[in-house]
Amino acid sequence: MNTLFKICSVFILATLVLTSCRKDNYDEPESFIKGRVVYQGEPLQLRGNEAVRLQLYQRGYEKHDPVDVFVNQNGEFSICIFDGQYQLITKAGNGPWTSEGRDTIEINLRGTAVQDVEVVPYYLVDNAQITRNGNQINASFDVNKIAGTGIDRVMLLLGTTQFLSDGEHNVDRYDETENMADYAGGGKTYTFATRDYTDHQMFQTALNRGTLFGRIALWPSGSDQAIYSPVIRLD
Amino acid sequence: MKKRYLFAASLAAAMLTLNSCSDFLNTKPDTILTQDQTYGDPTLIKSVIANFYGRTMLGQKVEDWDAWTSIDEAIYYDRNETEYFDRNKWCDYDHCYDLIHDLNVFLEGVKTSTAIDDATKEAYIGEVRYIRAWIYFCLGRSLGGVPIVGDQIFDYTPGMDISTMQIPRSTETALYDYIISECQEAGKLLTTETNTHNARANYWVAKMLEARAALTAASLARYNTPEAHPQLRTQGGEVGIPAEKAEGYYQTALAAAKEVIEKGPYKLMYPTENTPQAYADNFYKAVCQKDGNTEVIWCFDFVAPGKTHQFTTNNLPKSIAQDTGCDRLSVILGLVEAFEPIDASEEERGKGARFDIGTIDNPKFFDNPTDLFMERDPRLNGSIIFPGATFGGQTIELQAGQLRKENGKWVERTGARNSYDEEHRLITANNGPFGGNEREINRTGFYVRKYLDATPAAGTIGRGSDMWNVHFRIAEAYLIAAEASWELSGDNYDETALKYINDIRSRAGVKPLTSIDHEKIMHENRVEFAFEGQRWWQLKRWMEADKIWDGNPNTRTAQRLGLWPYKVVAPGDPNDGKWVFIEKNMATLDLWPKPYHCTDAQYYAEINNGWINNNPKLVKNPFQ
Repeated sequence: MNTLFKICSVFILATLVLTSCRKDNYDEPESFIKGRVVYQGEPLQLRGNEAVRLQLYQRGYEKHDPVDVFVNQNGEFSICIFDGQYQLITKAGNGPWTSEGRDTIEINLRGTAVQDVEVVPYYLVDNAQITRNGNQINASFDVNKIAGTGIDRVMLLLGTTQFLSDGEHNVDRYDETENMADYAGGGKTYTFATRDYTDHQMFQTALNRGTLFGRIALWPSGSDQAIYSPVIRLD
Repeated sequence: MKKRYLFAASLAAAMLTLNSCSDFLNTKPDTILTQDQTYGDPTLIKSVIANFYGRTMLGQKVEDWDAWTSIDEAIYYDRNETEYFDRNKWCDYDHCYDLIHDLNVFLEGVKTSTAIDDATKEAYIGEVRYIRAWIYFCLGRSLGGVPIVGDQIFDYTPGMDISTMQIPRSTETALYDYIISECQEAGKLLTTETNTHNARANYWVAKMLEARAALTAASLARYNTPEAHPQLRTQGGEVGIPAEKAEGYYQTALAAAKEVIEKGPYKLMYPTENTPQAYADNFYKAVCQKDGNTEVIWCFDFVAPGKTHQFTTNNLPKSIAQDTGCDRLSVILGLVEAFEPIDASEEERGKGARFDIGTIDNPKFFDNPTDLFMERDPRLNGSIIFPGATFGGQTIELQAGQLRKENGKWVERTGARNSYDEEHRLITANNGPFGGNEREINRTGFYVRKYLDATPAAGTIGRGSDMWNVHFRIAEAYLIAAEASWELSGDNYDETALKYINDIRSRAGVKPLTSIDHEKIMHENRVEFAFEGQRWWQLKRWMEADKIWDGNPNTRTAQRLGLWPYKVVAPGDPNDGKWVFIEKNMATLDLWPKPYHCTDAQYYAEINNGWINNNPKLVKNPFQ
């Protein structure tokens, strides 16, 4: 009786311990959707840091909440998710582009899917030049108007890391807002006033450390985000 | 033996099975009251109404002081890295619709009640309809158009078609029209008498909401234009009021506000003496003192003992703290300097002015730390505790450090809180202001005075404070009338507008305006209603937040600044013992590293995905 009981217990225990988790557990997803946010095939320079996001929907379920897909500062995104049929769309009003041509992109995911998202930006920051001459910084860029109607501000951002945006800039952010109407039409070169950082503590620290990066940003009117230049190393 | 057991068992079985249905097991539930019971008893009906009032406190409130730091009035002492204004702040959709359901159940249930006479019934219905309008207003100011359920009560029984319960959002215009008409209808049922501490709705409260709602709708129509904010509207009009509607709404607002001013029982309070201190005390009393108050029209009242809050406990200066937790909020310099000089020249009136403090190399010296602030609009002294001011009869000492002369140059010397130098002279005061990791310390040099309770023991956790939270004051009626009048005429010398705004200014103790404009109206509202929960909704209806909170660390209106007082310690120097002020940026001190930031995307709250799952007829808001 006792032995039988013990044997039974061991069996029951083994059944519980060894099999209990199979039913509600499945393997992690291994499929990827990758792509870039592009205009005429060129990826856009953006603010990373979860500021710009796309939304991924899957139909057929009771709830209809999207999965956020974050776009990094070079305009790239990547998401690891289960195989299936998805719909990808830009988030309304998010990103320095118009809602022109905003449409759902069907993605049939089996393994890996590469899908660029074509948008029409308000402006582009072309041919950005940032140069350092000792403690002085000069910067200029070509304002390329695509679908914009006005410019709120242009910014020169300096930092000790290459993650630079209107919110992340541990050395300096310098805004110019005058005469923006003159540049709203595009096709002009914008030149920032020369900045002297001789007495700027953080700038000097950055130079001593040997890491200084610069980036130019343009904030279109009515946009929730700025459009950027590539990050330029200045040390 | 066995037979006896069998007998006992059968007896027990018989007792259990045959008797189980008798009455003694049938008791009425003692925790649930039925509709008939509730509406059959006048006391119970009144308690239901009390419950409704207890759920009307939405938005910025005296019980949730940390949320005050969302806007450009105050900061707390902890580090905070928030960058954007939280668009979903003060949006309480689920709470609001729960309450609307309960209000509608009441309206249905009280109809057939025979326990109260018809006059009482009408008054109750008026109050409940007013509360419902208030709730819709609180929803609409944050979300735009929302589903209007009217008097419907939704009771779900399994198997029914739920799509009949799914109501689409109204347009923003229709929502404000509904609120205004409900206020007018409720007003017909409500008494014109005032009540204890003005905690319950009457005719004038409904008029005030009508005025505020109409002014909100009017400003949104005028300032949220497709040209200036192209994306800030939806196709169905759930967000975005047509510009041509502005005029009608301004007229409604003006008429309602005028009626309250001219016919209502509320009067502006004036001091008995003509001194800045008397004006300051008078302003504090007009907002914060319940006894003899003639300015407050509707408030959320508290009672001690019983229903109190901990605002005073958490916000008393350390030096007069009564319990654990103090010094929570510090007021930013931007608000302090918005209070204009008392003797401002004509062109300086109606706008803030920076303090003339000199520079560190060439500072200005003051005999008393209060000198700088006593020359300002007395409402500053009535709303904010500045260095050397008194509260509850005690002087509030604020000193960031000493200013010493070394080699002919002025140098700051600071220490830990409550530290003294070799000669036993104070270096840094117990209250601060100071940076660093210290907790319960002032950061900017200023404390909140408004809503701070000087009643003995009001700052203890055990008792708490019974300071009310004001919703409507007569001063708002004046400023609504002034604003609506100016918006309608577009005339900077509009006599009606000037009369109403100058009534407020003369009761405040500042000189009258000779001309009025949008900037001056915004300024007057800022200083009059500081900390009263109006600021964000006003910045929104004027579409002003994205202009002043531009996220630029070098824009003054986007910065969180402090003004730290230093005592001059320079024996032999003529300025020894005097005071000097130095401006400090909370971003540079690494306390609040990000400036205020708002773009068009932050003006309207998000329609939550969960709500859309439950009601697919809801359309999303812009930027979502």
